[in-house]
Amino acid sequence: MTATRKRPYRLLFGALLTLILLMGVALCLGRYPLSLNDLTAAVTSALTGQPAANPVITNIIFSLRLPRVLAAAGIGAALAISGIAYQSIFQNPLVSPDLLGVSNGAAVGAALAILLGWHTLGTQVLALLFGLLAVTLSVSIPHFMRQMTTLSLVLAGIVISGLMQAILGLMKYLADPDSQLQDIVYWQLGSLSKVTLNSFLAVLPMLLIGAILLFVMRWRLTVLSLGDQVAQTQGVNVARERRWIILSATILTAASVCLSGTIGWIGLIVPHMARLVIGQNAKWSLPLAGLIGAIFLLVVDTLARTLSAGEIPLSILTGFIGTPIFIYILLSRKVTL
Amino acid sequence: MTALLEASHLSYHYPHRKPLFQDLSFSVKRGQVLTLLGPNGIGKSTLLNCLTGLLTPTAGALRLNGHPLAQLTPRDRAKLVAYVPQQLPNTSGLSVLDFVVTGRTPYLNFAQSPGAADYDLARKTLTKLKVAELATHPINTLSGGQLQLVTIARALVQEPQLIILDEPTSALDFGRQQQVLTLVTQLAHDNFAVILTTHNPNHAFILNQQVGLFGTHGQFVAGDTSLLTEERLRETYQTGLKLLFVPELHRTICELV
Repeated sequence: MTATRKRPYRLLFGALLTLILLMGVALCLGRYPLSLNDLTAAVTSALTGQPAANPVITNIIFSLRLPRVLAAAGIGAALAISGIAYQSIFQNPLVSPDLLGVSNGAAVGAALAILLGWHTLGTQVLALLFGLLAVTLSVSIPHFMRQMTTLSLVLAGIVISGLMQAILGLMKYLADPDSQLQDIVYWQLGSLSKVTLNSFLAVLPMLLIGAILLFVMRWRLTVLSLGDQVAQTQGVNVARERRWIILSATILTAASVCLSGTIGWIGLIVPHMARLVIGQNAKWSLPLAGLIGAIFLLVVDTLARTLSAGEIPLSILTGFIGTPIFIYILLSRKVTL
Repeated sequence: MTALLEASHLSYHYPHRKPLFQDLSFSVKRGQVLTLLGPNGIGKSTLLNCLTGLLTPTAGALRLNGHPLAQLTPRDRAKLVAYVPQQLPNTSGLSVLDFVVTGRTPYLNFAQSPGAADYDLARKTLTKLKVAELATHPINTLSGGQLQLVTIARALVQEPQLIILDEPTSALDFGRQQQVLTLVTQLAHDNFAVILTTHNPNHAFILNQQVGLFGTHGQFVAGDTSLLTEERLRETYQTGLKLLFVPELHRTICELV
């Protein structure tokens, strides 16, 4: 019995160790390849405060690669955790954090900023605001209908996502095809190339708040995944707790998407991978999904910046890697739809 | 002894429909079993949903331990009332043990997860119901009857005073039906109050305690099993039936004719 009780801790520890190792490897890889010795030298000199032996290497590691590595891990974890939250409260394994329109809303905000000729910071702020706005609209529709059921929320999400897609289509139609349209399309495919340490630190509090809220509420996710009625008879205030969970997951997704653009698949498949390994109880699957999501996006982003001379958009890679994994999970028949 | 649950003059109607039931009154004490009988669609499940607080009656009053039910927080209510619904969640791949432990949720705040003591209680309860070997199975692989027993285990883990079962025998074979009825009697011995619905009048005779009978037009009578006359049951089920006293069983049985 003790072996089965320790197993979840072992899995989480293993995943954490893998993540740390891969972060070290990712810091070494790139156009200017570094050895692990370069990395340890730079890190020791930074920690001890002594002048670096090679300032160029220090600069590459801490100014260029570290923000990106941290952002990849943070965003991957955020998307995967919100995926677990959404799939639990909607009792549906095919739901992703985009369900209530956060990604399409953020895309509208980003496109608007691009049309207005704003720069990176403006794009990120507008993406964040419109992502939150879209979810607010989706959540308020059932509220006005006085029908706070999961199904009415799903329908409202479809409606608002559709509306945001229409607005986005209009903006693409109006955009200058030589510059603005490319920027919008590129934003929609997701990339971490414009992430700086400052922009990452700006959204980090949001990522932390959302992740901590969902982490402490993870047993509620398990109870809510059994259906609203069951949760209600267990003393859960379903409407109120679902609002908090949607809020936390939305903050996580919106904060991620405003940095990186939309990145598909992670919020959908990583929760499945985590549950396949560790079981359905969100007490364990949520932290594991966070770690797997971090590893997944770190690997994908490192491939995106090393595979070719140019940057490969992230959604293209997550799609090519995610599809076979998802099919494998479905075929392994461990997922009951 | 005062009543644990007291329902007085309850009515319920869904919006824009005529009332399902009207002016319905009964009470249940701890250690008592109330068996609800009635035709399909008369509102038995709706009544149970009112008793668990999932629905609010459109008229009348429900009191639990003397407190109006509507004034209890969901958490306090869940510490008093456990519900075994007819439609059980069977799409989740949660393990049986984790599922049973969800019954401890009323005792946890929003940031707490169940601890070792909660899991021990869940294991003990599964053993008591003779389904301990199912502990690690995902609930979506269980048969209807196994899921029913596991859900009853979850209700017990909730440590309520009142246990409400919606057609607990509907998915069960002959032997398991007997097991559930024995369990219900045992629960009453352990000083729980139990309310259950059933489509089989014989279950009311076997339990031989309080009975609530719905008529075809939503009229309702409550009392002991002497209420169950041929005339009333014929009216309820709109069919010919016969009540026979069987000396070998020391009870009345109900048969279709």
